Amino acid sequence: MTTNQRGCLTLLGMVLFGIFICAGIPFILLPSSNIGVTLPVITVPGEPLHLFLPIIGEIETVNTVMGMLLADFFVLLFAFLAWRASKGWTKQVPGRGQGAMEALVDGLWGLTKSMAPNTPPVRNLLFPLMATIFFFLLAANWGKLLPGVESVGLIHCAYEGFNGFPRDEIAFQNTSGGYQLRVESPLNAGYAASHTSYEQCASFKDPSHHADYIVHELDPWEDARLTHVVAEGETLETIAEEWNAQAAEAAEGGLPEGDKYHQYDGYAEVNFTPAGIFALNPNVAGEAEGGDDHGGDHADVIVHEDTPLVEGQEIVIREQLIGEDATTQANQIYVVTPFFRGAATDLNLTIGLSIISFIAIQAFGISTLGLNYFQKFVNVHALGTLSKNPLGAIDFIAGLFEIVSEIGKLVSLSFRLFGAIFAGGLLYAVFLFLFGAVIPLVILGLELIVGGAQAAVFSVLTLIFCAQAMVSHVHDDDHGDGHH
Amino acid sequence: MELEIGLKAVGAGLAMIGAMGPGIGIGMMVQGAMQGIGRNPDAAGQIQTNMILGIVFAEAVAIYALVVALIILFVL
Repeated sequence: MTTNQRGCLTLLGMVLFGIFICAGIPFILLPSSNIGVTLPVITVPGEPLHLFLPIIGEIETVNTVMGMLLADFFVLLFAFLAWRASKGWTKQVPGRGQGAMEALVDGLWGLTKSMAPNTPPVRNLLFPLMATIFFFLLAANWGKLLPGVESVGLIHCAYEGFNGFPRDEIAFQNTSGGYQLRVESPLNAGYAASHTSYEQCASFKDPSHHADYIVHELDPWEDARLTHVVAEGETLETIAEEWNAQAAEAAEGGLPEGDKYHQYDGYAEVNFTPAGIFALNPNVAGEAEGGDDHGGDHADVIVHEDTPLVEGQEIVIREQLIGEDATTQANQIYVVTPFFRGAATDLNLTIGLSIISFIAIQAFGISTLGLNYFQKFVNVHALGTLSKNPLGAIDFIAGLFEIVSEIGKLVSLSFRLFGAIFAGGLLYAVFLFLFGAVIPLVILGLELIVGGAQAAVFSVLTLIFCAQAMVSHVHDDDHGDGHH
Repeated sequence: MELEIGLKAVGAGLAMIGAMGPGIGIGMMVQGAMQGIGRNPDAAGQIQTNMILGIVFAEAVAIYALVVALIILFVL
């Protein structure tokens, strides 16, 4: 076998593998095992979360805050491990833990030394600040990728304007109480919730607050999708009559006993029409008139209400009732609010963090240069020496622009972090939705790099801006005046 | 309503045109850095650090465009 042939075989294998992954898993494998991938709720602000905690009781919070607490936990855990590792520092040969910690902190310290002067404020204040921001953001951005984060959470009714799914109860070893969203088909982006559907959904849980929207009539088939296998000689008309008769029979029989049904007064009226059934089955095959001369050629038979249908085919009587039309609790529209969402996907955190670093920049500048720091913005020195150096006017005007760029730092720091992390999560969600499995792992790897890079960028930029602020902008030539 | 959604999508797409400039800029920056490293391999470390910083500044502009697109899609 030549190398070219081997290459061709490899290519063929790769193409087949790609087809299997891109089409097989999301469209065949996952739906056949009743698993679908939902498109998560995408909102820029953090989603509110009502939690019942064992000791504290009921709290109202936002899931990005929970994400931040998770990141805090990881940072504290890291600090604890580093502290424990440091207890062995008296040993002559450092342990593995100590080696890792030292390498990490040493790398950060080397970076700090290369960008800022080695002065006491840098050693004692700037380096800890920069390292803290780095570790916190690293924990926040990588903690976001943990399994369960941004996916496991509270299921609740979808608000107006959101897309949601009906839910299924998860039974595990005869215990229940957990729910999951039900997705029947691949690439199903969910059902749009309206004001009515939200109120109706909420009325199941809390009837007193949404009294106007309580559903009193149960659907005879509890909102299920109905299909019908055509028997010999049946027409659309007879099928509709048959199902209407079934509904009437159920209505006469009355509701079954049970706690589940106590809110209903009776069964809802159902009216199937031949036209409605035909609309759901536009390709339904009719039996050709005048015997079987045409063989299997049913396509050109125009199906009327009284055309006999081909025996044995399955037609849809009604699609599943979901949202406003649904009469059971399970078929209302639900969304999941995850317990944890990446902390940096909330603008509140990124802007807060950049305000901290903005204040740090000003503080380092003022503490090092005193009032001279403000000459960076309003260059009085340049105005004073205007007679000797007319070009100083340019310095003065350029200084005024520094004010804008200083505010720009605030904006750029916060929006860069927010944009990169939020877009990463979005990209991952879309890839998961499209491909179902395996390929999103690539995005997960990319997310690791981006999360680490953004953490490094935020901390390094804080470092650099602080170091820049400590450098005097005033050319110190005042002393020379007396000598000349 | 559907027109509104469509116009939102168009607006988000138009906002992402802003990613073009930073793309060109990052390309030119890396080109310059590579040439610099080629001429003076000893300075590779320093050039790389500064290149990454420059890339980050240029990338910020693309991310502004992205944020605008995201806000059009998910907030407005």
